[in-house]
Amino acid sequence: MSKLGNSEADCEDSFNSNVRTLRYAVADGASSSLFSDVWARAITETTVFGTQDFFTEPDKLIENMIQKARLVWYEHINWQSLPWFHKNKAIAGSHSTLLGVEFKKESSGYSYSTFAVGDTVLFKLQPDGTYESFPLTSPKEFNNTPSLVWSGKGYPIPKNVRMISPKTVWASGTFNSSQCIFIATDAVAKWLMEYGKFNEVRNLMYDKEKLRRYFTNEINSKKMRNDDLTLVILSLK
Amino acid sequence: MAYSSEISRRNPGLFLFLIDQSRSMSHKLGGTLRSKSQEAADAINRQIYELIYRCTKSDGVRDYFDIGIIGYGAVSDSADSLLKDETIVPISKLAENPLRMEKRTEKISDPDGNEVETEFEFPVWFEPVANSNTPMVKGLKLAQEWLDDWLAEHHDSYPPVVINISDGAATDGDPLEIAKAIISMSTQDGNVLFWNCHLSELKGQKPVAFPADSTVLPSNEKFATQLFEMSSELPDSFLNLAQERALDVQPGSRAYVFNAGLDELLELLDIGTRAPTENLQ
Repeated sequence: MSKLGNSEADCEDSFNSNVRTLRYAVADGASSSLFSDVWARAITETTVFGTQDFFTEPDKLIENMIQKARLVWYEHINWQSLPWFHKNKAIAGSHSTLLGVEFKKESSGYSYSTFAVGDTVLFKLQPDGTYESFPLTSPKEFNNTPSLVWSGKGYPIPKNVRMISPKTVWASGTFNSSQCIFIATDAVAKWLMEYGKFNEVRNLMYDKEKLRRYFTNEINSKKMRNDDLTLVILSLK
Repeated sequence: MAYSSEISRRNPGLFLFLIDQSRSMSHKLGGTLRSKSQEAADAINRQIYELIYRCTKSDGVRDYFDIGIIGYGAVSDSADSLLKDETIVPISKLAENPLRMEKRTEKISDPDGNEVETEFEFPVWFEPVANSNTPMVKGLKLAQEWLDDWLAEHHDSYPPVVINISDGAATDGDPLEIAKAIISMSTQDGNVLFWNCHLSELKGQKPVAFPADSTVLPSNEKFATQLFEMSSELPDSFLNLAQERALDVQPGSRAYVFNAGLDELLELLDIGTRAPTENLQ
């Protein structure tokens, strides 16, 4: 959902999935840069539909993903027709966090490989309510300057330029039917760490309007930061 | 806590710039090759550009701020808006209607570190003028009228920031009382913040920035103390920002620079406009 006061179209978060390859990605476009929504969509799309395996080719995955995403982003923007205020800002490029995860079927349950740039967080929730989180493990670790994936500069820098891969952290693990995976952008992730309301949220997941009202209350009572919110919950049946 | 309101399209902030257009503004600003009026106009045009930059999103320029610009002294004993046929306007309107555009160049680096010179369009909303006397009181009265109207419709907004740039004393009376009246105006989030920047034409003149005590000002310049008394005390958020930039400020420091050169003018404008933008929703 969008930051309170903004329309849904203003949301700069993106989620994408590929159920064939069991890949999921969430990105949180930085509101300080322009066209971050386009960039967030481009990087989640190229992450889940790329050809590289998360388990065996992590470096190549990031390199290819970002190169393809730049083309998608660059071609989406009609540089020549932008008014001066868009043109002058868009040249600086767009930024976004990114978290990707791929699952692989094992003899019992699944294994997963995940990577992150920035403060979008993956939680693995145990049946007893305890959890492991990646890449951040404490609400104190959230700040205003998370690592970000950068699109590179815009026009007049050409679209086919060498891209600089962002600093990426990786983790892997196993996942079974008693557990649950949450992927959340920073405001929800920090709130989950502070208040631990995993089950309340999980119970509301199938009623979007109730969940929206629930989050709106949390924001209005200052428990959660007013921001674009994305939460993905994955479980095995 | 004061000065903490979120700035949003529903509750926009206001920047009101006042510029001295008296004849003496045609003299060079200390340490520069251009006149005080040219440097002041360029600095404010750039500041508006920066504000628009921060308000620009993919869907356009969002009206997080309203802007007004008042000039005094272009015509003897008069003050007027420097935006044609407008008083206070939403920032998107300024973005869409510059007076003119000029070509500027900047160097940007490609991913291999090669510098590429690129041309970009820079908007200008008003031109420098240096013509007559210094009717600062008339300028402040006009500002007070505009603020009155704006505050009537923005009770919950971040308090307006008024920035006055001048190089000398008022020629139409004592501006202190009306400045105090402006500072006493408020939203629910705090009082209007009144900034003063006094420009110096003497190279090497020692600027006095953000004084907390008027005794540090030159005792032979009466209007130095007058401008001090016309300036707001810096709220904590502005003090923190100034301290982050290693500026010598303390509780009680005023929103004021006396004998400013170009660096001090830009610094004052940057701090005066940046702290509120950190409250953008």
